[in-house]
Amino acid sequence: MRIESVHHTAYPDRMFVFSSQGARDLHAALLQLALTVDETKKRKSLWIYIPKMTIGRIQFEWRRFLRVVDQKIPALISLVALTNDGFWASSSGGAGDLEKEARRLLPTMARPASSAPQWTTISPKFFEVWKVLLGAWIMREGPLTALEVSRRSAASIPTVAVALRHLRRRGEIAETRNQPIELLGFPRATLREVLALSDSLRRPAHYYDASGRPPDPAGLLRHLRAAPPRGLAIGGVVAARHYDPDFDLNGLPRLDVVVEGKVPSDWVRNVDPAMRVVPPTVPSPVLVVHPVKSLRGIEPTKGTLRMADPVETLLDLYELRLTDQAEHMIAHLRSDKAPR
Amino acid sequence: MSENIDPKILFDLIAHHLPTELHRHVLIAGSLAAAYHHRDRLIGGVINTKDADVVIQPAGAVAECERVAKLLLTRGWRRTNVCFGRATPKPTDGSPTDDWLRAIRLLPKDSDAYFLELLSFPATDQREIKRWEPCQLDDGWYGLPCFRYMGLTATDRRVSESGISHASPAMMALANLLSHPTLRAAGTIGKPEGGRTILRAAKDLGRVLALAWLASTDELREWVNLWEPALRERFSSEHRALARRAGEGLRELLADPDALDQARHSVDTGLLRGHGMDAAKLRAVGEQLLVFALEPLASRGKN
Repeated sequence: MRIESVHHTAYPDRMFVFSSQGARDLHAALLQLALTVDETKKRKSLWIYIPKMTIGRIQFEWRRFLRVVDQKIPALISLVALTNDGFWASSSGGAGDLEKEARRLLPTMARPASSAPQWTTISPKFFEVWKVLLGAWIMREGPLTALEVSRRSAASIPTVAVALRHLRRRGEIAETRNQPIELLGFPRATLREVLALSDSLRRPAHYYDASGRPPDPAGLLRHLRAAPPRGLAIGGVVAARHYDPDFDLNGLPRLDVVVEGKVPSDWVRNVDPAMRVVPPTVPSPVLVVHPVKSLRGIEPTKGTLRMADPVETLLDLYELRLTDQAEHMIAHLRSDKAPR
Repeated sequence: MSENIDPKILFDLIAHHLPTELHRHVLIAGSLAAAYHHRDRLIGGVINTKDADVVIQPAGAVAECERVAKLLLTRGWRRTNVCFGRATPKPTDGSPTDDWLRAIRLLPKDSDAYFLELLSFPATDQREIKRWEPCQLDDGWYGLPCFRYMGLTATDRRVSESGISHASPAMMALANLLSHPTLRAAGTIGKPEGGRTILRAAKDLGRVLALAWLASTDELREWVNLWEPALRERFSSEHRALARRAGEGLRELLADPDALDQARHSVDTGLLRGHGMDAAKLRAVGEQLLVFALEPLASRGKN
C-alpha cells in the first residue's frame, strides 16, 4: 500500500495527502508525519482529503495514534481532515477559518502529480521478509540467500527484491547486489513503523474476561498446558523467560499466543469460554492471539507447549512496552551464552 | 434484627444454640452454607440472610425431624410469625394443598439473628423434585420440605470451624441444576424481591451461577470429578440420564434474557452483592460452567 503526500513551498509546515482509500492510508500518513517531525523536531500538520472515511472514525484513529507514538510527538503534530461527511481539525483554534481553507485547498492541492511515490509504508509481505531477516540476525545465523528468505517468508522472489530495496534505502542492509543478505544491525527505524502499524500487520485478537473475575493469564496458561491445542505457540513474557533466563519481570501481564493461520475461536472457548474479543484500544487484555503464516520457534516435546520464535516474542514485548527486557533478550540471544 | 451478618459468626451462634447431641444430625445448606464457604470473598464479609436451611439426617427420617423440632421447642426455641400448625395434614376447606402446611422455622431462645428452617433428607427412592412430608408437633401439623437432589449434598460435605457441617458449593450447585430442568415448572417465589416477581428456577440457578463465579476456574474444572461419582452412588439406575440433562435448565436460563435478569437481580441482592454483576458477566460464568463442568459430565453420561 502506498500513500502520496504533497509538500508545497508555500506551506512548509503542512503535509497534504489525498487518499482514495481509508484507514490504512490515514495510518500511513500519520506515521509519515510522526517520522518527519521526529527527525526535524519541527511542528507539522497533516492536511488530508479522505472521502471514504467518516469524521468520527478519523477522530477515533487520531486518538488511537496519539496513544501509541512517543510522548514528544503529539505536541508537534496536528491533523486537518476533509471527508464527504464533514470537516475536522485536531486543534480547535480558528476552526471556521481552517475549514474554509481546507475546503479551498485540499481537493486540489492534495492531489499529487503522477510522479514516483514519495514514500512506501510497510506491507504485510514486506513484514514477513523483515521478520525472517530479523530472526536470522538475532540468532546469528549469518547471511541468507534471497531464495532462503523467499522460502522462509513464503514471499515470491520479486517481493523479496522489493523489500530488500526498501531496506537498502533505509540503510538496514548493505548496498550489495546478488549477495546473501544480513541485517547490518538491529533495524530500529523499521521496528518503529512495525509497532505503529502493529494492529494491521499482526492483526491480533485481544480478549478480556467477560465474567468479571480478576484477570488470570497464568490460569489460562495452566489450562493450555494441560491440553495443548495444535498449531499454537506461546509468545510474550512466557517465551521471553524461556529465551532469556535473566528476564526481569515479575508476574504475567497478559498471555500472548501465536497461532498458525486465522485466529480460531474453538480452542479459546475450550480454554475459557468467558473470553470475549475486544478492540485493541481497550487496555489490559488478558489474552492476545496473533495469527502467523507458519509457526517457527522451538518444537514442543510431548506434553509441552511450543514457544513462539524470538521475533514474535520480541514484538510482543515491545507492544507491552517492555523495552528494556526486549533489549536484554536480544543481547542475550546474540551473546555466546545463548544455545544455537 | 440485623440485616447483614458475618456467616462465620452465624455458624458459631448456631453451634452454640443447637444442643450438642443434634450437631451430627444437621447439615447447613443454601445461601448461608455458600456464604460461609466463600466468606473471604463477600463484600464486607457479610451476608444479608437470616434463613439457615438445616437438612436433618438420616434420610427419610420424618420422626427424627419431629424429635429435633420438639427438642428445640422444649429448649426455648420460638416459632417465627409465619410458622404455625394446622389442625389437619391436608386442607379440608378446599385450600390449595401446596400452601397448606407451614415449614418449621424456629428462632433460638435469646436471639433474632437467624432462624432455622428444617428440611428432611430425601430417601433414594423419592421421585418428586420436591415433596412435603407432614410432620406433627404438639400444636398441629407442619410440613418438611424434602428435595430429591438435596441428597447429593451429603457428598463432599464440609465441617465448619464450629463443628457444624455444611454442604459444599459444588454439590449445592448440582442439586440446584438438577432441580430445575426447565425454568417455569417450579413457579415463582412466594415473596417478590425488590418489588419484582422472580422465578424460583431463576433464583436457584442464579445461586448456581454465583457459586460458579465465586469458585476459581481451576475449582470449576474439578466439579465434574465430584459430581459424576456422587450421581453414580446416589442415583445408580439413572445417573447417566441425569448427567446428560443436568445443564438443560441453565441453557434455558442463558437463552432467556428476562429470566437471566431475574437471576442477576437475585445474586446482586444476595451472595454477589457489591460485585457489580450484570447479565453479561452471568452469561460468561454460565458458559464457563457449561464448558468446564456440565459438558464433561454429559460426555461421561454417554459412556
